[in-house]
Amino acid sequence: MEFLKSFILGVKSTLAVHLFRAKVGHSLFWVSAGFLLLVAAVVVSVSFKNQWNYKTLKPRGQAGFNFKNSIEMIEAGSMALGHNAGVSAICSAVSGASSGLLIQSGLPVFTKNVVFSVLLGFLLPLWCLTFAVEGLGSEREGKTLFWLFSKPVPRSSIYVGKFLAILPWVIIWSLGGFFVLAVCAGDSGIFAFKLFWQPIALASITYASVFFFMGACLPRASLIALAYAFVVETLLASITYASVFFFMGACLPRASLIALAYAFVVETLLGSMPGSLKQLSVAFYARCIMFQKSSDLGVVLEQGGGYGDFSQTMAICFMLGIALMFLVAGIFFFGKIELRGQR
Amino acid sequence: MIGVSPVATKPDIVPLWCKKVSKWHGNFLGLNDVSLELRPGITALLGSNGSGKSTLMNLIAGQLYPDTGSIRIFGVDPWTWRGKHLVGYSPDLDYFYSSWSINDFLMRMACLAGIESKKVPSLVNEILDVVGLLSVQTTLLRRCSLGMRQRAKIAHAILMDPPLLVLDEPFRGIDPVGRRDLVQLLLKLQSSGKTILVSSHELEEIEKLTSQVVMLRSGRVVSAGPVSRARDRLLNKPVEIALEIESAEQIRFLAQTVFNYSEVLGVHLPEGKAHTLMVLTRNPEIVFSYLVKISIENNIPIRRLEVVDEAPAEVMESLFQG
Amino acid sequence: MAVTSLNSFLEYRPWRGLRNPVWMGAFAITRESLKLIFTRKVFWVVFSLAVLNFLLYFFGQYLFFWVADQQPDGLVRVGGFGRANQNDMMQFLRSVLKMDGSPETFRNFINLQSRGIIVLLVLAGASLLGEDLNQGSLIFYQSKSGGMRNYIVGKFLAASFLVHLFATVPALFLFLEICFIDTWTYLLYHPRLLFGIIGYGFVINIGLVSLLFATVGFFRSTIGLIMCWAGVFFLLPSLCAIMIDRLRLNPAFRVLDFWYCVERLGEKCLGASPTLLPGQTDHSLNPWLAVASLGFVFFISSFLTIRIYFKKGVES
Repeated sequence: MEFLKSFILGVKSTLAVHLFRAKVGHSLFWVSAGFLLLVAAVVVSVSFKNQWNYKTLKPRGQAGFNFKNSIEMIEAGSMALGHNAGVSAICSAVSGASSGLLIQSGLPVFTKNVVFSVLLGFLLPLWCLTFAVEGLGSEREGKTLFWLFSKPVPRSSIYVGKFLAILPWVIIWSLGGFFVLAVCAGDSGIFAFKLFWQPIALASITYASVFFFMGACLPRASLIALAYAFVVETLLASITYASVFFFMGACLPRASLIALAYAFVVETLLGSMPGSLKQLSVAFYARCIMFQKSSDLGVVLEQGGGYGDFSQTMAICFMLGIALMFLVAGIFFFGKIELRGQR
Repeated sequence: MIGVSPVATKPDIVPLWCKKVSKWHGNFLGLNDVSLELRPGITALLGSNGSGKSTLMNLIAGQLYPDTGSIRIFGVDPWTWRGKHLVGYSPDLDYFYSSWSINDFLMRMACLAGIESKKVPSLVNEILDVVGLLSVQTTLLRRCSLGMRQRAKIAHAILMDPPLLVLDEPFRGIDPVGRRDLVQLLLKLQSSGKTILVSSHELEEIEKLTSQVVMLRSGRVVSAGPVSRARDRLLNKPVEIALEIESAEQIRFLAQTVFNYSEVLGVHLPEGKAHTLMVLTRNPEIVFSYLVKISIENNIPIRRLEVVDEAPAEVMESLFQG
Repeated sequence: MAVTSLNSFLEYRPWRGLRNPVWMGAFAITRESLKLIFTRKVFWVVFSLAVLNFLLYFFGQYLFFWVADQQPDGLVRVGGFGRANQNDMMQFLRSVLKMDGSPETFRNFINLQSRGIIVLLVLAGASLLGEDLNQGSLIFYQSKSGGMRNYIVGKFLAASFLVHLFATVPALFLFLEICFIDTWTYLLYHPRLLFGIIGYGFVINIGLVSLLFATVGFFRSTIGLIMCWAGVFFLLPSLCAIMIDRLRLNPAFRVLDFWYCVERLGEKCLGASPTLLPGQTDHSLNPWLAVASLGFVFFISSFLTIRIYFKKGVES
């Protein structure tokens, strides 16, 4: 009972002190903001050209004709067959329906090209990393953990309190960034935002838990980076950008680097690997939820990839489970940290 | 009873109780089988660089966990969150939240410690006044001088009014006036019943604070108790007694007379001090009696008679050279 | 003068010897910087991967020319495994692996090596430049006669050495290999290749090293540096692929992809024919646009380098 009271007191006081004290102006934040602006600029230019649809894309297996050409051919056929009212009517109906479909095809195009690949694969892990690793990671690197450890409250409460303090920033930044991109894409993007904001929020909470754990509990990136790099290198036959960036972590004892490497290697690389390897990435479960949500509307986002194998409920449970697992692990390991060589 | 003693009592009635505490730093043994008790009052922790002072203080403050043995503060393990109520630690580190002011820092630390938010401003003001930072409380920590940051650390240590204070190098970087004020503060805290463990290389200040010392060397306690007890452990090192008399003409006669005694190892007359005689001996009490006897028999008034090298600096040097 | 008068008192001898010109201090900085890089394990890991890549091309080319030299009966004995069709083997090495001494061979080789260069330059930037900026050691360089000029030149030479060690030198070795295993007339018939290799190395050198100086100076922290480079070498190509290959926008947008521009210029230097990568639909970026992109990056980087290192370097 006494422990519970102290725990709640610790969480409340940590939250009260640190909730709005997140270091906003650090370099990671500006890099994240820069990336958001860059991607938003690209999305705006695509929107300006009204390209968020299938018009200029080609049907699978077709060479030469894109969807727009195909519809124009049907319309031409309809006009050519004007003497046959029935066939002409059918052709007109088909071309009309197809045109309508094309106009509304922005959701899968925006989702596949922006949400699935750029947002989930690159931006979202980066945005979450920006705040989450700095939560306790900045205290470790700045050697100010002592000031927290000297308080008469359980360390677990400090961990949980700090996590809850960075969580709003992570969610606001992730959803805010997604919203900016969605607005830049127009109706397709806003529709995608309304449909997918929950899995994005859930993914950002899970990422926050993972990266917060790394920032709080990992003193040396080298061993973990080497282990990750070994795993990646045995899986891949050639060097890729992400895995070699990962080697960087081997020489620099920064938890942020492990988190960065995780973001780029596990999430980006393994997330696109075949088979069950991709299930190691948080983005996979977010994509599963999106896949199910869009399938409910009759839109198939991506053939193959295994995203249909997990129901929404299962994917949500997995993501929450990962978040909880890292939270519990973080509480355990954070409680064991000894402060050495603080001078 | 004030001071330090070997571990003999139960842990829950003494401010600090350490039994057979050892701590490894990788392959290096930082602290080796240290046992000691502290009683209310001020105790100095002395030792050369790398002797284990900071390690011991970090263990007492609950920032490290002993690999063997146990530490208790009034019977409570300082590693636990309950133990943090009982100890206030001012570490040697110089890392702060640089964008905070002194006032912000103490207010937020007080909030984190669970102090009621209504009471925090008045408490912080009071503490700032005690440590002499009231007029500069809005200064950002990154712009503070080393002395100001030292005081901020001490202010943080006394925030929760703990019964045990552990201060690691509190005088470092503080000017002589500030050091005098800090000495007064520590004496005041002592008189209010606090137990204070302070480590420093500023031995003049230590001498003003206390005569109770714990000396560490290579992670072991080489002496715990009054300085004189430490001194007594140096059986092989002779003591130098300074004798100052009124009449410079009789100094040579005195030197010749006292030299005849077997307990006296040597005498010398320091240059520039015509009235002073230095006597070297391993038995100062006996030689005192001889000197007094000679002075009475020959009517030689004595101005001063004292043992010269019982100061912590000399004792420390002697102990650590061994 | 003071030293001479105090000779007998201090028992010092006056300094004897010749002083080198001030600008030679840059070489000392280069030497020490390279020593620092060579003590890092990561360097040797990346270097070993680069050596593996070089050996792959070395023996691939060797195999190609050896197979070409066999009796034209159509079959080649392959160890103890049997015989393989000579034409099939040569076709495979030429068309699929492109290990036939053609400009495409060198283009592919240098492109692969460049990935290691990117990683290595991030390491070098963090170790050689980032540490100096973060720890405040620039003041030691500024207090010497050469000042920041020697510092910039020295560090630039160190980074350039790494670039050429990974790209230009092994490519020249591969070129030399062909001269030995084929015929010396290869050099006469392919002079453009020789200069192209050097030119491509120079393009990578200028582009990457100037970018490195600017990004390290701007971010100072390793994390920021890695994220920036991830954005340049990962995000930008992804965005360009989405815009051009998937959404069929104007191919000129590819100018945003800095690394693509460098590769395109390298292709032009070597005279290699453009090859579409998997997923790419267009490869028609005007080389002058690529030059403009590289020039823009170089100009901005130089401006930032001068501003940061010469003016703000010692500020905390």
